[in-house]
Amino acid sequence: MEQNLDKLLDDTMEGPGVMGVICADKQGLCYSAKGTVSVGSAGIIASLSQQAALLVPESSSAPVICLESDKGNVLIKTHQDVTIAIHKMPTY
Amino acid sequence: MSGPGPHNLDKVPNQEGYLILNDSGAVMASSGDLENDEATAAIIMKMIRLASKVNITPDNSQSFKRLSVIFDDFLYIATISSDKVYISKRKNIPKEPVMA
Amino acid sequence: MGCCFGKDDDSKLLDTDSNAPLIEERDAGYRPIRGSDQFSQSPNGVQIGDQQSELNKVLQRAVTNVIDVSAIDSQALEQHEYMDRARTYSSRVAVVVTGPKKPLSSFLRLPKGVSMPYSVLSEEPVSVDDINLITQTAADAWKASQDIQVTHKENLVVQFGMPQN
Repeated sequence: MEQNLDKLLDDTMEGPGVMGVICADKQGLCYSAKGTVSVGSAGIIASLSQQAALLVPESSSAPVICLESDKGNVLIKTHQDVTIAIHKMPTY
Repeated sequence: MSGPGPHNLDKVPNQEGYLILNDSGAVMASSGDLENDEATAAIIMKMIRLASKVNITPDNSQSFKRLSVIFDDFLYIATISSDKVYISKRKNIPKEPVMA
Repeated sequence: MGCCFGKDDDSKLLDTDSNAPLIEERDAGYRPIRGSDQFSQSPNGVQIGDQQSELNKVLQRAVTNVIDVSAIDSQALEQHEYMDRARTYSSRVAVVVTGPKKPLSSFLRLPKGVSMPYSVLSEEPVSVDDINLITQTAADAWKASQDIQVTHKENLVVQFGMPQN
């Protein structure tokens, strides 16, 4: 069941600079969200990833999307039909 | 319609092309790989609107500085300045992390 | 349009009485209802009074719920009030039209952004560490998500008005 996913997100939260993490399916249904990331953003993350994949339709793997701001970066990536986003302070 | 003005975009390092769009997504200037690339312009414009309208985290509403889309060998970097969208396509040259 | 007509008829005939509030309402949506009611009233004149008052009540309720409440309070709009409003509205429109240039709608408005696009685009891209982190996490999350199933807990369809077993 979802314990594995939950544990994965908990482990991810432990990483350096990680402030929040969210996992959604490709329709934008939120599986789980932790930390600073709001549950309601699952849809936007999924559609950002869908749009990005259209940039290079022939590519086999989805690109990484990054929204950078002074308050940290939001990294987004889809693997198969699961999209994950991590809110993280940059590490230099 | 006035042009985008001096922007120095052709001096961005490792660049393969750039696009400058107005606030409705029309191409105002372009070069290299992205010359008149309206399809790419439309997709990135859509992404910028998505990213700027919804807060992914409670505190970074509408304030992202850059949107990057990173593929294996190149990346798109987009930013907004005075109602124009600047998009640069750069070669992806992974820099080895200093601390492993 | 036709506001004064409604008033006149109002005082004269029961039948046209029903039209009065309709004409005062600028909402065309109410016309069909009115028309059909009037039609059904004419044959049996006895119930006209009852139906009429009921109908008025219903309409009044709908009107207060649906339509600009401030306009209902002053049932008839005096000429000068009308002119005042026209002036207010057109001055507001003028402010919007001639005011600071705005994009089409709030959805289309871009955030303010940065002052130096060149330097922002020239900065180092996201670190390899971050890219590896998100790539690895996404792959792991997909693996973990394969375990997720929907558990059946209760009926999704519920019958109303059926005796409970």
